[in-house]
Amino acid sequence: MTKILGVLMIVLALVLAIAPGFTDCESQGKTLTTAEGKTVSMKCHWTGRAEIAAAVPLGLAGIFALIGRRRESKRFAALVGAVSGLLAILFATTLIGTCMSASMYCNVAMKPIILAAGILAIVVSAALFFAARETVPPAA
Amino acid sequence: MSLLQLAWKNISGNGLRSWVVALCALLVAAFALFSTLLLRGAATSLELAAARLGADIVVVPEGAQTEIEGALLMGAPAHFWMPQQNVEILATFPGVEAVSPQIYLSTLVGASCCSVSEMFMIAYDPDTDFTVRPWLQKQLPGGLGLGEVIGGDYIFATEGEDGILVYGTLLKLKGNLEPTGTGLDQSVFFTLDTAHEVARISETQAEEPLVIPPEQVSAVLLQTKPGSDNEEIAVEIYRSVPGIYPIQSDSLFSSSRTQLKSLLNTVVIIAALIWPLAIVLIGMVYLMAANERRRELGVLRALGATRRFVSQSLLAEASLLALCGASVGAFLAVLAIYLFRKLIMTSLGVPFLLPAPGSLALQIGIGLLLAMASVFLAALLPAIRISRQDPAIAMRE
Repeated sequence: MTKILGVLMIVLALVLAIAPGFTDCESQGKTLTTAEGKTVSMKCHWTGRAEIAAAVPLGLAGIFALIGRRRESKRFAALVGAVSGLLAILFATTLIGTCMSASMYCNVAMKPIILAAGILAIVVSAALFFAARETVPPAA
Repeated sequence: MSLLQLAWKNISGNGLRSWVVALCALLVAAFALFSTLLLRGAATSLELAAARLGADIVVVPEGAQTEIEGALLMGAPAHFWMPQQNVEILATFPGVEAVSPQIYLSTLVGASCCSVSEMFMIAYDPDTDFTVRPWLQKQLPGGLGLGEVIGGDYIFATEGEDGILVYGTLLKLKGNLEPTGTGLDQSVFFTLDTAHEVARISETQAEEPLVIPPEQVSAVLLQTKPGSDNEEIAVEIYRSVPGIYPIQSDSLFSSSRTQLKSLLNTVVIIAALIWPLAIVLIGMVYLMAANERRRELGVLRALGATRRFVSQSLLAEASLLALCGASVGAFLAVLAIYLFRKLIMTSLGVPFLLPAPGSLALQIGIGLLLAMASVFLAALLPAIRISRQDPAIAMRE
Protein backbone atom coordinates (compact mmCIF):
# COMPACT_ATOMS: atom_id res chain seq x y z
CA MET A 1 0.00 0.00 0.00
CA THR A 2 2.71 2.53 0.99
CA LYS A 3 4.63 1.68 -2.18
CA ILE A 4 1.59 2.54 -4.34
CA LEU A 5 1.20 5.80 -2.42
CA GLY A 6 4.92 6.53 -2.91
CA VAL A 7 4.59 6.03 -6.68
CA LEU A 8 1.51 8.31 -6.70
CA MET A 9 3.51 11.03 -4.89
CA ILE A 10 6.30 10.80 -7.47
CA VAL A 11 3.76 11.05 -10.32
CA LEU A 12 2.13 14.10 -8.70
CA ALA A 13 5.57 15.70 -8.23
CA LEU A 14 6.32 15.19 -11.94
CA VAL A 15 2.95 16.74 -12.85
CA LEU A 16 3.68 19.77 -10.62
CA ALA A 17 7.15 20.22 -12.08
CA ILE A 18 6.35 19.68 -15.77
CA ALA A 19 2.69 20.64 -16.44
CA PRO A 20 2.97 24.41 -15.67
CA GLY A 21 5.67 24.76 -18.34
CA PHE A 22 3.13 23.71 -20.99
CA THR A 23 0.03 25.40 -19.60
CA ASP A 24 1.11 28.90 -18.52
CA CYS A 25 0.23 31.92 -20.69
CA GLU A 26 3.79 32.21 -22.00
CA SER A 27 3.61 28.69 -23.41
CA GLN A 28 0.60 29.93 -25.44
CA GLY A 29 2.66 32.83 -26.77
CA LYS A 30 1.17 35.45 -24.47
CA THR A 31 3.41 37.94 -22.66
CA LEU A 32 2.92 41.35 -21.10
CA THR A 33 4.00 44.44 -23.04
CA THR A 34 4.95 47.43 -20.87
CA ALA A 35 4.30 51.05 -21.79
CA GLU A 36 7.98 51.25 -22.85
CA GLY A 37 7.39 48.42 -25.29
CA LYS A 38 9.32 45.79 -23.32
CA THR A 39 8.05 42.21 -23.20
CA VAL A 40 7.90 40.63 -19.76
CA SER A 41 6.56 37.30 -18.48
CA MET A 42 3.19 37.30 -16.72
CA LYS A 43 3.01 36.15 -13.11
CA CYS A 44 1.62 32.73 -13.97
CA HIS A 45 5.00 31.97 -15.52
CA TRP A 46 6.73 32.62 -12.17
CA THR A 47 4.15 30.50 -10.38
CA GLY A 48 5.05 27.68 -12.76
CA ARG A 49 8.72 28.07 -11.88
CA ALA A 50 7.97 28.17 -8.14
CA GLU A 51 6.02 24.91 -8.39
CA ILE A 52 9.35 23.14 -9.00
CA ALA A 53 10.27 24.12 -5.43
CA ALA A 54 7.19 22.26 -4.20
CA ALA A 55 7.63 19.35 -6.60
CA VAL A 56 11.20 18.47 -5.54
CA PRO A 57 10.44 17.73 -1.84
CA LEU A 58 7.21 15.96 -2.88
CA GLY A 59 9.17 13.70 -5.24
CA LEU A 60 11.80 13.01 -2.57
CA ALA A 61 9.03 12.18 -0.09
CA GLY A 62 7.62 9.75 -2.64
CA ILE A 63 11.02 8.05 -2.98
CA PHE A 64 11.29 7.82 0.84
CA ALA A 65 7.82 6.25 0.99
CA LEU A 66 8.90 3.79 -1.67
CA ILE A 67 12.21 2.67 -0.15
CA GLY A 68 11.76 3.52 3.53
CA ARG A 69 11.31 0.66 5.99
CA ARG A 70 10.77 2.40 9.30
CA ARG A 71 7.32 3.67 10.16
CA GLU A 72 8.77 7.00 11.37
CA SER A 73 10.55 7.68 8.07
CA LYS A 74 7.34 6.95 6.10
CA ARG A 75 5.37 9.23 8.39
CA PHE A 76 8.00 11.96 7.99
CA ALA A 77 7.75 11.53 4.19
CA ALA A 78 3.96 11.89 4.53
CA LEU A 79 4.36 15.18 6.42
CA VAL A 80 6.82 16.53 3.83
CA GLY A 81 4.41 15.47 1.06
CA ALA A 82 1.46 17.22 2.71
CA VAL A 83 3.43 20.45 3.25
CA SER A 84 4.65 20.34 -0.38
CA GLY A 85 1.07 19.87 -1.62
CA LEU A 86 -0.08 22.82 0.49
CA LEU A 87 2.82 24.95 -0.76
CA ALA A 88 1.93 24.09 -4.38
CA ILE A 89 -1.65 25.30 -3.77
CA LEU A 90 -0.49 28.47 -2.00
CA PHE A 91 1.94 29.39 -4.82
CA ALA A 92 -0.91 29.30 -7.34
CA THR A 93 -3.49 31.06 -5.16
CA THR A 94 -2.06 33.50 -2.62
CA LEU A 95 1.76 33.60 -2.64
CA ILE A 96 2.19 34.41 -6.35
CA GLY A 97 -1.11 33.68 -8.08
CA THR A 98 -2.07 33.61 -11.74
CA CYS A 99 -3.24 36.17 -14.33
CA MET A 100 -6.32 38.28 -13.54
CA SER A 101 -8.62 37.25 -16.36
CA ALA A 102 -10.51 34.05 -15.62
CA SER A 103 -10.53 33.19 -19.31
CA MET A 104 -6.73 33.16 -19.68
CA TYR A 105 -5.11 29.79 -20.31
CA CYS A 106 -3.24 29.74 -16.99
CA ASN A 107 -6.56 30.00 -15.14
CA VAL A 108 -8.28 27.51 -17.42
CA ALA A 109 -5.58 24.82 -17.41
CA MET A 110 -2.48 25.53 -15.28
CA LYS A 111 -4.15 26.55 -12.02
CA PRO A 112 -6.65 23.64 -11.96
CA ILE A 113 -3.84 21.15 -12.66
CA ILE A 114 -1.74 22.59 -9.80
CA LEU A 115 -4.70 22.68 -7.40
CA ALA A 116 -5.73 19.12 -8.30
CA ALA A 117 -2.15 17.86 -7.89
CA GLY A 118 -1.76 19.77 -4.60
CA ILE A 119 -5.03 18.46 -3.15
CA LEU A 120 -4.25 14.89 -4.24
CA ALA A 121 -0.72 15.21 -2.78
CA ILE A 122 -2.26 16.14 0.60
CA VAL A 123 -4.81 13.30 0.42
CA VAL A 124 -2.17 10.74 -0.63
CA SER A 125 0.18 11.98 2.12
CA ALA A 126 -2.59 11.63 4.70
CA ALA A 127 -3.25 8.08 3.49
CA LEU A 128 0.49 7.33 3.70
CA PHE A 129 0.63 8.69 7.25
CA PHE A 130 -2.13 6.35 8.43
CA ALA A 131 -1.08 3.37 6.32
CA ALA A 132 2.60 3.55 7.37
CA ARG A 133 3.72 0.26 8.95
CA GLU A 134 7.10 -1.11 9.88
CA THR A 135 8.47 -3.17 6.97
CA VAL A 136 10.31 -6.19 8.28
CA PRO A 137 13.38 -6.88 6.11
CA PRO A 138 13.51 -10.41 4.69
CA ALA A 139 15.65 -12.82 6.73
CA ALA A 140 19.17 -13.33 5.33
CA MET B 1 -16.52 -11.85 15.27
CA SER B 2 -19.16 -9.56 13.79
CA LEU B 3 -20.24 -9.56 10.15
CA LEU B 4 -18.40 -6.30 9.39
CA GLN B 5 -15.19 -7.46 11.09
CA LEU B 6 -15.25 -10.66 9.05
CA ALA B 7 -15.88 -8.67 5.85
CA TRP B 8 -13.00 -6.30 6.66
CA LYS B 9 -10.62 -9.22 7.31
CA ASN B 10 -11.58 -10.74 3.97
CA ILE B 11 -10.94 -7.41 2.23
CA SER B 12 -7.46 -6.95 3.74
CA GLY B 13 -6.69 -10.65 3.21
CA ASN B 14 -6.97 -10.41 -0.60
CA GLY B 15 -5.54 -7.13 -1.81
CA LEU B 16 -5.78 -7.67 -5.57
CA ARG B 17 -9.41 -8.78 -5.57
CA SER B 18 -10.37 -5.88 -3.31
CA TRP B 19 -8.54 -3.34 -5.53
CA VAL B 20 -10.31 -4.66 -8.67
CA VAL B 21 -13.78 -4.45 -7.11
CA ALA B 22 -13.13 -1.02 -5.54
CA LEU B 23 -11.74 0.26 -8.86
CA CYS B 24 -14.88 -0.89 -10.72
CA ALA B 25 -17.08 0.87 -8.16
CA LEU B 26 -14.86 3.96 -8.45
CA LEU B 27 -15.25 4.02 -12.24
CA VAL B 28 -19.02 3.56 -12.17
CA ALA B 29 -19.54 6.25 -9.50
CA ALA B 30 -17.06 8.70 -11.03
CA PHE B 31 -18.46 8.37 -14.55
CA ALA B 32 -22.10 8.56 -13.45
CA LEU B 33 -21.52 11.59 -11.24
CA PHE B 34 -19.21 13.42 -13.66
CA SER B 35 -21.56 13.07 -16.62
CA THR B 36 -24.66 13.94 -14.58
CA LEU B 37 -23.03 17.05 -13.10
CA LEU B 38 -21.74 18.12 -16.50
CA LEU B 39 -25.00 17.70 -18.39
CA ARG B 40 -27.22 19.19 -15.68
CA GLY B 41 -24.75 22.05 -15.13
CA ALA B 42 -24.72 22.86 -18.84
CA ALA B 43 -28.51 22.73 -19.16
CA THR B 44 -29.00 24.99 -16.09
CA SER B 45 -26.45 27.43 -17.40
CA LEU B 46 -28.11 27.71 -20.81
CA GLU B 47 -31.50 28.36 -19.21
CA LEU B 48 -30.01 31.01 -16.91
CA ALA B 49 -28.16 32.75 -19.74
CA ALA B 50 -31.33 32.97 -21.84
CA ALA B 51 -33.25 34.29 -18.84
CA ARG B 52 -30.58 36.87 -18.02
CA LEU B 53 -30.52 38.17 -21.57
CA GLY B 54 -34.11 39.24 -21.00
CA ALA B 55 -34.77 40.00 -24.68
CA ASP B 56 -37.29 38.23 -26.87
CA ILE B 57 -35.33 38.83 -30.06
CA VAL B 58 -31.66 39.78 -30.52
CA VAL B 59 -30.82 41.47 -33.80
CA VAL B 60 -27.21 41.22 -35.02
CA PRO B 61 -25.49 41.90 -38.35
CA GLU B 62 -25.99 39.04 -40.81
CA GLY B 63 -23.22 36.46 -40.36
CA ALA B 64 -22.58 37.34 -36.69
CA GLN B 65 -24.93 34.65 -35.31
CA THR B 66 -22.16 32.29 -34.23
CA GLU B 67 -20.01 35.11 -32.90
CA ILE B 68 -22.72 36.42 -30.56
CA GLU B 69 -23.34 32.92 -29.18
CA GLY B 70 -19.60 32.55 -28.51
CA ALA B 71 -19.49 35.95 -26.82
CA LEU B 72 -22.52 35.42 -24.57
CA LEU B 73 -21.79 31.79 -23.74
CA MET B 74 -18.00 31.60 -23.64
CA GLY B 75 -17.00 35.26 -23.18
CA ALA B 76 -15.10 35.21 -26.47
CA PRO B 77 -14.57 38.82 -27.62
CA ALA B 78 -16.94 39.75 -30.44
CA HIS B 79 -16.57 42.61 -32.91
CA PHE B 80 -19.38 43.33 -35.32
CA TRP B 81 -21.19 46.50 -36.29
CA MET B 82 -24.37 47.67 -37.96
CA PRO B 83 -25.84 51.12 -38.58
CA GLN B 84 -27.42 52.81 -35.56
CA GLN B 85 -30.42 53.83 -37.68
CA ASN B 86 -31.57 50.19 -37.44
CA VAL B 87 -32.61 50.92 -33.84
CA GLU B 88 -35.27 53.39 -35.01
CA ILE B 89 -36.33 51.13 -37.88
CA LEU B 90 -36.77 48.11 -35.59
CA ALA B 91 -38.83 50.13 -33.11
CA THR B 92 -41.48 50.74 -35.80
CA PHE B 93 -42.28 47.06 -36.36
CA PRO B 94 -45.71 46.01 -35.11
CA GLY B 95 -45.52 43.87 -31.99
CA VAL B 96 -42.23 45.39 -30.80
CA GLU B 97 -42.59 46.99 -27.38
CA ALA B 98 -39.03 48.14 -26.61
CA VAL B 99 -35.68 48.31 -28.40
CA SER B 100 -32.26 48.89 -26.91
CA PRO B 101 -28.84 48.99 -28.64
CA GLN B 102 -25.67 47.43 -27.26
CA ILE B 103 -22.02 47.79 -28.22
CA TYR B 104 -19.64 44.84 -27.79
CA LEU B 105 -15.99 45.62 -27.07
CA SER B 106 -12.95 43.81 -25.70
CA THR B 107 -9.72 44.69 -23.95
CA LEU B 108 -6.28 44.27 -25.51
CA VAL B 109 -4.16 41.14 -25.07
CA GLY B 110 -1.15 41.42 -22.73
CA ALA B 111 -1.15 45.22 -22.67
CA SER B 112 -0.32 47.15 -19.50
CA CYS B 113 -3.15 49.62 -20.20
CA CYS B 114 -5.69 46.81 -19.58
CA SER B 115 -5.64 44.93 -16.29
CA VAL B 116 -7.51 41.99 -17.83
CA SER B 117 -6.69 40.60 -21.28
CA GLU B 118 -9.39 39.86 -23.88
CA MET B 119 -12.22 40.75 -21.53
CA PHE B 120 -15.64 40.94 -23.19
CA MET B 121 -17.30 44.31 -22.48
CA ILE B 122 -20.93 45.21 -23.06
CA ALA B 123 -21.96 48.85 -23.35
CA TYR B 124 -25.69 49.54 -23.01
CA ASP B 125 -27.94 52.55 -23.38
CA PRO B 126 -29.32 53.31 -19.88
CA ASP B 127 -32.26 55.30 -21.32
CA THR B 128 -33.71 52.43 -23.32
CA ASP B 129 -32.15 49.38 -21.62
CA PHE B 130 -34.45 46.67 -20.33
CA THR B 131 -31.94 43.80 -20.07
CA VAL B 132 -29.07 44.94 -17.80
CA ARG B 133 -31.00 47.28 -15.51
CA PRO B 134 -33.26 44.64 -13.92
CA TRP B 135 -30.18 42.81 -12.53
CA LEU B 136 -28.78 46.08 -11.16
CA GLN B 137 -31.96 46.99 -9.28
CA LYS B 138 -30.90 45.21 -6.09
CA GLN B 139 -27.29 46.39 -5.93
CA LEU B 140 -27.47 49.75 -7.70
CA PRO B 141 -30.96 51.22 -7.76
CA GLY B 142 -29.56 54.40 -9.34
CA GLY B 143 -27.87 52.49 -12.18
CA LEU B 144 -24.30 52.95 -13.35
CA GLY B 145 -22.74 56.38 -13.70
CA LEU B 146 -19.92 57.61 -15.92
CA GLY B 147 -16.73 55.60 -15.27
CA GLU B 148 -18.57 52.87 -13.34
CA VAL B 149 -18.86 49.21 -14.28
CA ILE B 150 -20.53 46.11 -12.96
CA GLY B 151 -18.76 42.81 -13.53
CA GLY B 152 -19.69 39.19 -13.94
CA ASP B 153 -18.96 36.75 -11.14
CA TYR B 154 -15.28 36.30 -12.15
CA ILE B 155 -14.39 39.99 -12.43
CA PHE B 156 -12.16 41.32 -9.66
CA ALA B 157 -10.71 44.76 -8.97
CA THR B 158 -7.00 45.28 -9.68
CA GLU B 159 -4.79 44.72 -6.62
CA GLY B 160 -4.61 47.88 -4.53
CA GLU B 161 -7.38 49.59 -6.52
CA ASP B 162 -11.17 49.58 -6.39
CA GLY B 163 -11.56 49.23 -10.12
CA ILE B 164 -10.17 47.73 -13.29
CA LEU B 165 -7.93 49.35 -15.86
CA VAL B 166 -9.49 49.42 -19.33
CA TYR B 167 -7.53 51.11 -22.15
CA GLY B 168 -5.73 53.32 -19.60
CA THR B 169 -8.92 54.36 -17.76
CA LEU B 170 -9.52 53.09 -14.23
CA LEU B 171 -13.20 52.12 -14.15
CA LYS B 172 -14.80 51.75 -10.73
CA LEU B 173 -16.11 48.23 -10.11
CA LYS B 174 -19.48 48.78 -8.42
CA GLY B 175 -20.31 45.12 -7.85
CA ASN B 176 -20.61 41.65 -9.28
CA LEU B 177 -23.56 39.80 -10.75
CA GLU B 178 -24.72 36.34 -9.73
CA PRO B 179 -22.90 33.52 -11.59
CA THR B 180 -24.46 32.05 -14.73
CA GLY B 181 -21.67 29.70 -15.77
CA THR B 182 -21.47 31.47 -19.14
CA GLY B 183 -19.17 34.06 -20.68
CA LEU B 184 -21.27 36.74 -18.99
CA ASP B 185 -19.42 35.83 -15.77
CA GLN B 186 -16.16 37.07 -17.37
CA SER B 187 -17.66 40.24 -18.85
CA VAL B 188 -18.18 43.80 -17.65
CA PHE B 189 -21.14 46.07 -18.31
CA PHE B 190 -21.09 49.87 -18.56
CA THR B 191 -23.06 52.64 -20.21
CA LEU B 192 -22.52 53.92 -23.75
CA ASP B 193 -21.24 57.21 -22.29
CA THR B 194 -18.53 55.32 -20.37
CA ALA B 195 -17.58 53.43 -23.55
CA HIS B 196 -17.14 56.67 -25.51
CA GLU B 197 -15.19 58.23 -22.60
CA VAL B 198 -12.83 55.20 -22.49
CA ALA B 199 -12.40 55.44 -26.28
CA ARG B 200 -11.52 59.15 -26.00
CA ILE B 201 -8.96 58.61 -23.21
CA SER B 202 -7.47 55.54 -24.94
CA GLU B 203 -6.16 57.71 -27.78
CA THR B 204 -3.47 59.04 -25.41
CA GLN B 205 -3.36 56.50 -22.55
CA ALA B 206 -3.48 53.07 -24.22
CA GLU B 207 -1.08 51.04 -26.33
CA GLU B 208 -3.81 50.92 -28.97
CA PRO B 209 -6.89 53.18 -29.06
CA LEU B 210 -10.36 51.73 -28.50
CA VAL B 211 -12.21 52.24 -31.75
CA ILE B 212 -15.99 52.67 -31.71
CA PRO B 213 -17.18 53.44 -35.25
CA PRO B 214 -19.48 56.51 -35.26
CA GLU B 215 -23.21 55.87 -35.61
CA GLN B 216 -22.73 52.11 -35.29
CA VAL B 217 -23.97 49.55 -32.75
CA SER B 218 -23.21 45.84 -32.31
CA ALA B 219 -26.66 44.48 -31.56
CA VAL B 220 -30.22 45.60 -30.90
CA LEU B 221 -32.27 43.82 -28.26
CA LEU B 222 -36.02 43.69 -28.75
CA GLN B 223 -38.82 43.14 -26.30
CA THR B 224 -42.10 42.13 -27.87
CA LYS B 225 -45.62 42.88 -26.68
CA PRO B 226 -47.26 40.14 -24.60
CA GLY B 227 -49.10 37.68 -26.82
CA SER B 228 -47.09 38.56 -29.94
CA ASP B 229 -45.76 35.87 -32.23
CA ASN B 230 -41.97 36.32 -31.95
CA GLU B 231 -41.29 34.07 -34.92
CA GLU B 232 -43.56 36.13 -37.14
CA ILE B 233 -41.91 39.37 -36.02
CA ALA B 234 -38.41 37.90 -36.60
CA VAL B 235 -39.35 36.73 -40.10
CA GLU B 236 -40.84 40.13 -40.92
CA ILE B 237 -37.69 41.92 -39.70
CA TYR B 238 -35.45 39.60 -41.74
CA ARG B 239 -37.53 40.23 -44.88
CA SER B 240 -37.74 44.00 -44.48
CA VAL B 241 -34.30 45.10 -43.22
CA PRO B 242 -31.28 44.01 -45.24
CA GLY B 243 -27.94 43.07 -43.63
CA ILE B 244 -29.32 42.06 -40.25
CA TYR B 245 -30.32 38.76 -38.67
CA PRO B 246 -32.94 38.49 -35.89
CA ILE B 247 -32.43 35.61 -33.43
CA GLN B 248 -35.29 34.55 -31.18
CA SER B 249 -34.16 33.98 -27.58
CA ASP B 250 -35.46 30.36 -27.75
CA SER B 251 -33.07 29.56 -30.59
CA LEU B 252 -30.22 31.84 -29.49
CA PHE B 253 -28.10 29.06 -28.07
CA SER B 254 -29.24 26.43 -30.56
CA SER B 255 -25.71 25.26 -31.46
CA SER B 256 -24.91 24.73 -27.77
CA ARG B 257 -28.18 22.88 -27.27
CA THR B 258 -27.32 20.62 -30.24
CA GLN B 259 -23.83 20.10 -28.79
CA LEU B 260 -25.40 19.20 -25.45
CA LYS B 261 -27.75 16.71 -27.08
CA SER B 262 -24.90 14.92 -28.87
CA LEU B 263 -22.91 14.93 -25.61
CA LEU B 264 -25.87 13.31 -23.84
CA ASN B 265 -26.05 10.62 -26.53
CA THR B 266 -22.31 9.90 -26.16
CA VAL B 267 -22.64 9.65 -22.37
CA VAL B 268 -25.58 7.26 -22.66
CA ILE B 269 -23.63 5.03 -25.07
CA ILE B 270 -20.52 4.98 -22.83
CA ALA B 271 -22.66 4.31 -19.74
CA ALA B 272 -24.43 1.49 -21.58
CA LEU B 273 -21.01 -0.07 -22.19
CA ILE B 274 -19.30 0.62 -18.85
CA TRP B 275 -22.10 -0.31 -16.47
CA PRO B 276 -22.81 -3.89 -17.62
CA LEU B 277 -19.07 -4.49 -18.11
CA ALA B 278 -18.33 -3.42 -14.53
CA ILE B 279 -21.13 -5.66 -13.20
CA VAL B 280 -19.89 -8.65 -15.22
CA LEU B 281 -16.27 -8.06 -14.10
CA ILE B 282 -17.22 -7.78 -10.42
CA GLY B 283 -19.48 -10.83 -10.78
CA MET B 284 -16.60 -12.86 -12.24
CA VAL B 285 -14.22 -11.70 -9.49
CA TYR B 286 -16.71 -12.82 -6.82
CA LEU B 287 -17.45 -16.09 -8.59
CA MET B 288 -13.70 -16.88 -8.59
CA ALA B 289 -13.38 -15.71 -4.97
CA ALA B 290 -16.32 -17.87 -3.92
CA ASN B 291 -14.77 -20.92 -5.60
CA GLU B 292 -11.37 -20.22 -3.98
CA ARG B 293 -12.98 -19.92 -0.57
CA ARG B 294 -15.20 -23.00 -0.70
CA ARG B 295 -13.25 -24.76 2.06
CA GLU B 296 -12.98 -21.67 4.22
CA LEU B 297 -16.72 -21.01 3.98
CA GLY B 298 -17.38 -24.72 4.51
CA VAL B 299 -15.49 -24.53 7.82
CA LEU B 300 -17.51 -21.49 8.74
CA ARG B 301 -20.73 -23.41 8.07
CA ALA B 302 -19.41 -26.42 10.07
CA LEU B 303 -18.70 -24.11 13.02
CA GLY B 304 -22.36 -23.16 13.10
CA ALA B 305 -22.64 -20.20 10.75
CA THR B 306 -25.97 -20.10 8.97
CA ARG B 307 -26.37 -19.90 5.17
CA ARG B 308 -27.69 -16.41 5.65
CA PHE B 309 -24.55 -15.39 7.61
CA VAL B 310 -22.23 -16.76 4.88
CA SER B 311 -24.03 -14.96 2.04
CA GLN B 312 -24.33 -11.81 4.14
CA SER B 313 -20.56 -11.83 4.87
CA LEU B 314 -19.82 -11.87 1.12
CA LEU B 315 -22.38 -9.15 0.41
CA ALA B 316 -21.08 -7.03 3.32
CA GLU B 317 -17.57 -7.35 1.89
CA ALA B 318 -18.81 -6.27 -1.56
CA SER B 319 -20.80 -3.37 -0.11
CA LEU B 320 -17.83 -2.11 1.94
CA LEU B 321 -15.56 -2.20 -1.11
CA ALA B 322 -18.22 -0.49 -3.22
CA LEU B 323 -18.67 2.24 -0.62
CA CYS B 324 -14.90 2.90 -0.42
CA GLY B 325 -14.39 2.83 -4.20
CA ALA B 326 -17.50 4.88 -4.96
CA SER B 327 -16.61 7.50 -2.31
CA VAL B 328 -13.16 8.00 -3.86
CA GLY B 329 -14.78 8.08 -7.32
CA ALA B 330 -17.31 10.70 -6.21
CA PHE B 331 -14.53 12.80 -4.64
CA LEU B 332 -12.45 12.65 -7.84
CA ALA B 333 -15.46 13.45 -10.06
CA VAL B 334 -16.46 16.49 -7.97
CA LEU B 335 -12.82 17.67 -7.76
CA ALA B 336 -12.36 17.30 -11.53
CA ILE B 337 -15.60 19.04 -12.44
CA TYR B 338 -15.00 21.87 -9.93
CA LEU B 339 -11.39 22.55 -10.94
CA PHE B 340 -11.53 21.83 -14.67
CA ARG B 341 -14.97 23.28 -15.44
CA LYS B 342 -13.52 26.12 -17.52
CA LEU B 343 -11.30 23.76 -19.51
CA ILE B 344 -14.31 21.49 -20.11
CA MET B 345 -16.43 24.50 -21.16
CA THR B 346 -13.78 25.64 -23.63
CA SER B 347 -13.10 22.16 -25.02
CA LEU B 348 -16.74 21.09 -25.40
CA GLY B 349 -18.11 24.54 -26.23
CA VAL B 350 -20.89 24.35 -23.66
CA PRO B 351 -21.44 26.62 -20.64
CA PHE B 352 -21.45 25.15 -17.17
CA LEU B 353 -22.76 26.15 -13.76
CA LEU B 354 -21.99 24.25 -10.57
CA PRO B 355 -25.14 22.99 -8.84
CA ALA B 356 -26.27 24.29 -5.46
CA PRO B 357 -24.86 22.34 -2.45
CA GLY B 358 -28.18 20.54 -1.82
CA SER B 359 -28.48 19.38 -5.41
CA LEU B 360 -24.78 18.39 -5.44
CA ALA B 361 -25.23 16.28 -2.28
CA LEU B 362 -28.26 14.58 -3.84
CA GLN B 363 -26.34 13.77 -7.03
CA ILE B 364 -23.38 12.42 -5.01
CA GLY B 365 -25.82 10.25 -3.05
CA ILE B 366 -27.34 8.87 -6.27
CA GLY B 367 -23.85 8.16 -7.68
CA LEU B 368 -22.86 6.25 -4.52
CA LEU B 369 -26.10 4.30 -4.52
CA LEU B 370 -25.70 3.38 -8.19
CA ALA B 371 -22.15 2.07 -7.64
CA MET B 372 -23.15 0.16 -4.50
CA ALA B 373 -26.18 -1.32 -6.24
CA SER B 374 -23.99 -2.44 -9.16
CA VAL B 375 -21.50 -4.22 -6.88
CA PHE B 376 -24.29 -5.70 -4.73
CA LEU B 377 -26.06 -7.00 -7.85
CA ALA B 378 -22.83 -8.53 -9.17
CA ALA B 379 -21.96 -10.24 -5.87
CA LEU B 380 -25.50 -11.50 -5.18
CA LEU B 381 -25.43 -14.62 -7.38
CA PRO B 382 -22.01 -15.93 -6.18
CA ALA B 383 -23.04 -15.22 -2.55
CA ILE B 384 -26.29 -17.22 -2.87
CA ARG B 385 -24.50 -20.04 -4.71
CA ILE B 386 -21.74 -20.43 -2.13
CA SER B 387 -24.14 -20.30 0.81
CA ARG B 388 -26.09 -23.25 -0.61
CA GLN B 389 -23.14 -25.64 -0.84
CA ASP B 390 -22.90 -28.62 1.47
CA PRO B 391 -20.23 -27.87 4.14
CA ALA B 392 -19.04 -31.51 4.28
CA ILE B 393 -18.43 -31.66 0.50
CA ALA B 394 -16.83 -28.23 0.47
CA MET B 395 -14.37 -29.16 3.28
CA ARG B 396 -13.44 -32.43 1.58
CA GLU B 397 -12.53 -30.67 -1.71
